[in-house]
Amino acid sequence: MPVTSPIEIQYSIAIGTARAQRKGTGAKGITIVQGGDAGTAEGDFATSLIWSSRKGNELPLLLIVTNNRYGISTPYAGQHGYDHISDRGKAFNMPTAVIDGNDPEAAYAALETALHYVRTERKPYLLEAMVSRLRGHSSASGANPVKEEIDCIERFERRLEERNLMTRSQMDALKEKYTAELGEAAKRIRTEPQPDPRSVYDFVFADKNYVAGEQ
Amino acid sequence: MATMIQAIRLALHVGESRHGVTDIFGEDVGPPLGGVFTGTQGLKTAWNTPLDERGIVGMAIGLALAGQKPVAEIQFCDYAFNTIDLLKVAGNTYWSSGGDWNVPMVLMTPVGAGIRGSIYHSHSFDATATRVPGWKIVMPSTPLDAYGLMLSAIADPNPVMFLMPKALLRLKSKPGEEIPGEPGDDRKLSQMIDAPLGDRSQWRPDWPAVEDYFIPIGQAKVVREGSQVTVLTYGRNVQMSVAAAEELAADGIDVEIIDLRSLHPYDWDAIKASVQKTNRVLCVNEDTEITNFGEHLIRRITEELFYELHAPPKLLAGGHLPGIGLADALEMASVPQKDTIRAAIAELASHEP
Repeated sequence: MPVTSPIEIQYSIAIGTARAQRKGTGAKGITIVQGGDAGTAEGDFATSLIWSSRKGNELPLLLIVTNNRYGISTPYAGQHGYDHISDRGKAFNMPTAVIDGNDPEAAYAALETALHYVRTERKPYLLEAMVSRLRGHSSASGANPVKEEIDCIERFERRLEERNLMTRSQMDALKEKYTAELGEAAKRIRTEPQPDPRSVYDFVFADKNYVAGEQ
Repeated sequence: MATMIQAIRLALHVGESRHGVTDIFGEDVGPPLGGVFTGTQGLKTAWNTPLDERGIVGMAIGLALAGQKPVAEIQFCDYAFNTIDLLKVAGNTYWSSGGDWNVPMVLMTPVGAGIRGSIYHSHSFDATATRVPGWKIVMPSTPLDAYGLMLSAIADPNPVMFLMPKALLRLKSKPGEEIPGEPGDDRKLSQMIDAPLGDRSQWRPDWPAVEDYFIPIGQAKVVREGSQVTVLTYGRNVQMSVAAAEELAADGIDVEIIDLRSLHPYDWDAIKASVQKTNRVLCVNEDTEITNFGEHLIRRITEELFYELHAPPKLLAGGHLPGIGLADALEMASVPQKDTIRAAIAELASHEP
């Protein structure tokens, strides 16, 4: 799916792609839809719970909510009466789980379980991953690092080192490699020529490119 | 002689039988009811949804992105307003993905006044719909046009909104405007495709062998030729305008009526040719008058055909009201009627520069 900026519409669209993959169609694929904790307050989250769990018409849909306990500047606790968002799935008879989303191993194992269930049962599963908010929101705190939060990458790196799976220098080299790659990409984008202004009218329609009023 | 709602049902049957329609859905669209206006009775891919318009539109977008061909219904357009950001997504996905993802879906919804539906069953949607780029928007005024436009909507690779003028849904086609292949006898057609009252669990429709018939989206129809005033209209107001024109003919006023049929893209060539002939133009529709689609047409006519006009272009639309009145007198005062259309045409015809 193309990325969209509204924080909730993916939940309403996911039921459509999941219906195309429902039991009986022979499809093996599933739909995965993801959002943050604050966005689950939108009605579209309820839409996906209701439509994916209709009796006899369940949809192969994995819902993943990453909960960092903030919507821009507003804390989770003041806006949600339930302890866990995943508890909402229980009312729809779907299996749920809450995991430490800062732990890649726990996340991998939980995803494996959830994916296996959705793939084989062709029914929905709601997974809530508790995660850090490593940086603030650009509109709230200037996207600065938040020191009090667990840094999931640092923690995982320590674990890799302790288990002698990777050395500090190997990890630093990896980091440097990808930092350089991203820097290059950013530089390339800044120096690319601007597109032809008229091309803003491209791709309005998939057959003939009608512009408003133009024949 | 199919009614408009039977014509729509026949087109959906052809759509699911021959043109790849995979899902026809909405509130009360599936069995046992088959649509509050009977539009989806007996269709093999019709199913009922929860009462959730955002879910209905999102479902259609998802199915379309996954390679299916959905036809979704919003039971009354009055309940489509909470779906507007999803309508925007359907309209912008092809553009924002640089041509990678098109959204071939049809959204049908009954619109307009005429059934004493008051504040929540009478709204129009054309002004709102034409403000959502990336959609094609059609609105028939006859059963045959409904049939041909629905099949074109189904075949189209873009999102297409099919606005159903609810006051015309039980209107029968005129002789010579039959759907190709429909039985000539109304009663026979009804016995074949209308679900019986009461228990329908054992009922199956006996579809007539109707043929493909496509009305290109973007093509208007001159429904009455005339030389003195052009009326640009669509949906329910077409018949009213024709009736008004027939009355005015007795007074020696010769009116041309154009049924736009497609609001986007609209048929500028037909509009231009008619205005150049009559030099006077009236736009008629039921939506509220401020930022009305007719205002756009008038703006373009004024910009491009200013020196050919012999009278200021005129718009006759619904009042800028929060709803449509319930009492007969209030509903009729809310939206154009034959007599107000007649008066507006007469005024234009007698205008001296």
